[in-house]
Amino acid sequence: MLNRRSKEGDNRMVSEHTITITTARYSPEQDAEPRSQSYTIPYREDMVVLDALNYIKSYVDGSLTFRWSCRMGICGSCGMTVNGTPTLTCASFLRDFYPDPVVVEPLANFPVIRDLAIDMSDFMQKLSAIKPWIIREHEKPIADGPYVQTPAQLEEYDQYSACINCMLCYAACPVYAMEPKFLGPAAIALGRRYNLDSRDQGTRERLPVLGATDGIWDCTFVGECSVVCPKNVDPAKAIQQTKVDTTLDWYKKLVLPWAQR
Amino acid sequence: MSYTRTADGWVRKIGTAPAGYNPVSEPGLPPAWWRVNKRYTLYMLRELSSVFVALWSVRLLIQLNQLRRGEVAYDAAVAVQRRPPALAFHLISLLFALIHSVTFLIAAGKGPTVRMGGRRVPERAITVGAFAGWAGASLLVLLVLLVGGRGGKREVGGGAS
Amino acid sequence: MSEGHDQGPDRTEPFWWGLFAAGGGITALFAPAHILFQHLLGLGALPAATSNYERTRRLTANPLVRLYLLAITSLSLFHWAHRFRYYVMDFGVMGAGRLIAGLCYGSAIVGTLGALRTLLRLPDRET
Repeated sequence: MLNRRSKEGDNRMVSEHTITITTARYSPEQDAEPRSQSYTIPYREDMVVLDALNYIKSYVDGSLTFRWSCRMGICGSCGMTVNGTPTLTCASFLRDFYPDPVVVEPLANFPVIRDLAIDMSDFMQKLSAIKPWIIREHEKPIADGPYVQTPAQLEEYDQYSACINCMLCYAACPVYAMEPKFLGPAAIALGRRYNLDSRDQGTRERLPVLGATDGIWDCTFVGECSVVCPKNVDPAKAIQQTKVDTTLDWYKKLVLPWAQR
Repeated sequence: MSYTRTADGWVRKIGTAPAGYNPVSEPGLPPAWWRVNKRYTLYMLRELSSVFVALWSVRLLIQLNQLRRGEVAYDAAVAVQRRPPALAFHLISLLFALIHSVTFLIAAGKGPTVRMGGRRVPERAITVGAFAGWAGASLLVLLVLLVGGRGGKREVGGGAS
Repeated sequence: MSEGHDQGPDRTEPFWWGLFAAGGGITALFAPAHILFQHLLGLGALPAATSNYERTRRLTANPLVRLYLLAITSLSLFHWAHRFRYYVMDFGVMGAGRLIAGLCYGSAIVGTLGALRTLLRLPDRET
């Protein structure tokens, strides 16, 4: 299906098949509540939802607002709710829905700024709260060379370092929906990523946030976060491991209060 | 869901809101949120299973209490179990106990990080080990029930009294 | 330090979670066998000790058996308590958290004391 001159005289995509995209719309200046709008656009087998949104914005309705960047599943910008499921729109193929209409809504559990763009400041705050950087008690002098890590040491935290901060896990989590103070899957997984890093010495420093009531303990292991994660981070596993470690440490301190970690 | 940050932390807001926030949304989730997909539904059943397992253990204690009252009272307590309401209760309890065991043992595979011989044991191996442990424990219970308490002066045939 | 995250680590939650995990583990491993072999098949098809007064009496006279029974009943109550306390939130009940937690753990404590009482007062082996 080659691009050819359209009726409109430009080189937009032309196809015999069409699909209907229904998106949520919300303009704070005009709307008292969100509404929805449907667009029927040309359909091609290789299109993803993001392509559809970009087609709408380029050729049909330039006011449609949404975030995207890399269009290849690594930047984490394009997370939205597609037919009720939190998903990256760059990774969601229209052919999986065609010929049925596709409903696109903003990512769940976050306030909406406009249309499909959400306010992520809650997540950003939680991310910085867990201190996502190497914490050292003593810095190694530069003359001593770099921090060396074996493949086995890398394997310890590698899975959790794959997080792209797309927040699909927050949208999937019913606990976060009901309790906005919950630290959330990605923040906890990233906290654990650094706690497990052999170069890091900051576990104790992260404990007040990770081990808080609204840290790991709000989680009831629903597990949907790991289901929707596009990078197989398995945050549910990270949270359970953190619960086990924190509990064992707690009992150890109870039984041997003088032992230093 | 709409919320905003204040000095006290996060506060849920509905109704008018500062610009940039969705002004109309229900806080939390709709009541039937867990019917939306199979995994949410299984999660809610899994949580419910803890009620039936606890009921079973209370039931166990009640039966043990009858032991003090002597043979007649104990046999009566056992006889009650054969009636349909008790059988139905135990069948439902078994179903929920199985849901609990399967979900818990799978979840247990994710919790600890086990190392053997320097290499990390893969999650699947831990889960298989847990299920093997379940089989072993069940066999142990069966054996104790079959063999236990035998060898006394007076032994009535097992099962019925 | 970001606002809203200055709570500090929860000092009691690991204790309850530890009991919850232990209770979940012991009931996951043993409960289905009890229900199937003791309460269902044990009533007829299977000559289970627990359907017979004499055998049950002898079996439960064993201190190890009593210890096991205390462990499984008490831990299953603490497992329920912790899980149920969060379960009510899944139905949207977000308030009265401390009260609900107190009622749940309190019931488990009362149940544990009841179990202790029952098991200590069991008859010994026949004379």
